[in-house]
Amino acid sequence: MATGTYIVEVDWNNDGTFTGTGETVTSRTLHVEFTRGRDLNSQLTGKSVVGSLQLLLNNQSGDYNSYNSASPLTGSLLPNRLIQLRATGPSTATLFRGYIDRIIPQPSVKGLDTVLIEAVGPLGFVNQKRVSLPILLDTDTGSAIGSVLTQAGWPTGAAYRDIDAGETTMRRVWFQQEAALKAMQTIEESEGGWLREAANGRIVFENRARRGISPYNASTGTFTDAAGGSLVYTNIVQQDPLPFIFTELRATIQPFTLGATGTLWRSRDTGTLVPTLPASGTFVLWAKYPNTSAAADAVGVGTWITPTATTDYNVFTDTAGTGTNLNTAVALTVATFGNEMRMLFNNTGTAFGYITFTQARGVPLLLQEPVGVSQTSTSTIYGTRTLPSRAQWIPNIDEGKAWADWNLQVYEDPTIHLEMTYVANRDNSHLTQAIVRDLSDRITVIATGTRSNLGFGRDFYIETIKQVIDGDRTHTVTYLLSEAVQRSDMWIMDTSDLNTRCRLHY
Amino acid sequence: MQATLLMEVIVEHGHWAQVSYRRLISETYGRGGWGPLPPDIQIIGTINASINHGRWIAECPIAGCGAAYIADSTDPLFICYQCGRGWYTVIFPPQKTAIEQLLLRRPRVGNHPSSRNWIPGETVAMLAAENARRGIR
Repeated sequence: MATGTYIVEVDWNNDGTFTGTGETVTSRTLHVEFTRGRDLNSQLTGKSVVGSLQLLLNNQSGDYNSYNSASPLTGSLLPNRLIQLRATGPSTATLFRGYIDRIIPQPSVKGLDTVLIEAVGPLGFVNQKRVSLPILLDTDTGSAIGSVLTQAGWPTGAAYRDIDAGETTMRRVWFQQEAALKAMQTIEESEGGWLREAANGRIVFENRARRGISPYNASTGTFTDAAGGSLVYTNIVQQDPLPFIFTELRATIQPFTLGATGTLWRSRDTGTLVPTLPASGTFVLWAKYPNTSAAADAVGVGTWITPTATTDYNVFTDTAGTGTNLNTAVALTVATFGNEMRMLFNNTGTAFGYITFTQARGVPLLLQEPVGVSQTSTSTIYGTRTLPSRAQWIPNIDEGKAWADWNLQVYEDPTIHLEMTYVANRDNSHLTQAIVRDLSDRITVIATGTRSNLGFGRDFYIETIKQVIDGDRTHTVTYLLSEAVQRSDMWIMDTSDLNTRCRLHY
Repeated sequence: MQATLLMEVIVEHGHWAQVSYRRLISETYGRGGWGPLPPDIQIIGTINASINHGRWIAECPIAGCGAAYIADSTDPLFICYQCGRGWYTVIFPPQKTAIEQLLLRRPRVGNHPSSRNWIPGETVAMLAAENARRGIR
């Protein structure tokens, strides 16, 4: 039996490295497994969920018990510590990189004490944050994903992000206190791309064209049921194709327009209720829009106007606004978002003040009449199976129609969806595949032999990966696969041959 | 009872077993050395059903016993084949359908939907919040 060499590491001291005391836990590892990728192996309806890793360690020492003051890790057994599983043989690669979610000691009075450590992938880390964005105008989906990641505190740089420029340019997009992952999923839907986690811990945003180009248009390994094949699988399940078939696709386009500049918000408090601003003190007010004074079709603020003293706010030494005006001693800092403006008043003077008047002006963003588009199959074999698009930011009717056209071509007929398992310990070739293959890699599956008798040999994309490694280093890999050709046979200028690749992509 | 295909459901006894729940209990109870099943007219307590890896289970309440069946909401009774205690009424939560719907959104890779778990006390809102944290829609 071939065995891989693995290293499991936790950055207990949170210094960004794995060199500290007790940070390599390989020798204590009893079991580790992880899952990463889509919730469903459909390139249309399957979207990434947060990756997860479960690590079972020998805890006979009690090192991983958070209340054990004798542990060398006391005070460091905390969530959000970086954790990674990597292999150094027969190939070198990171298999999972994420962040600790839970540490659960499992004492056994008579047996072996263990600890279960659960971790999430980088999307789970990011999703702890809520984001607010100002209304972005004519922004491509990749840029918008980048903005959300930055708002959520995710580092920039190639070690953390692999973000395609979007094929779709959204006319307007904004978020108000939205969970970061949910916000990005709305952008992902509008692109028709894929937001995912890479094995090395990067957050990846694939635009909808990525799989049509190198290296995603070439198979990286052939798995077969043939006796003597160099890569063989031990189990294969052809999934029910019906949930993946759609004969009618519908999209809704929501146009916007800008309204007239005006006062959008006003503080109504007067007298003793007005905010106080002590000397050297600060006060934060949030102007919110739409509010009860807004038009029924108002949804946000296209542009906030930076408030100016006297016109938009006044600070006096008394609540009635008849004493000494302190505006010159007040510094105002604003931050603007789609539905809010944060106003930070800072009294730099020595007199006690009252904010007697505040308003916020701007250009409201108004909804226009939504437009629906659809495309329906002429085939009646599968009946009416309707998929309404969940995309929120489709920019125009043409693109909505193109989305429906393209996906109808792909999904009006059955496509093959597989669950395939192999034992990596068969030999080093299998181990190498287990170690280096990642999501979106293209592989070939041959199922024409008598062992499976499924009658096809085709290319597939890896949509979900599950790997299980036990203490004896038995290593099992399961992939959820979607058929590749429908996505990658779009017409590509200067590459595609006539009459072989004729689907028009959008 | 006819076994059904393993569709995407939170599994109860009838979804997978070839024999009825009552017959399974009877056979395992007998194999445990407890003889024929006593009449189910004397209920000595209740057990809250829980969900473990995508299965409704009823677990023996006796500390340290650990015996469990995959539960059956159409025959919600339990008697322990290991320690012989019973009968208990198995209580399914009033929000059973909502709980199942939320857990079924959690992806399954392979035969073990290890993230589909629920214990009594967890609210529907808590499950929904967990789903949201994991990006599950």
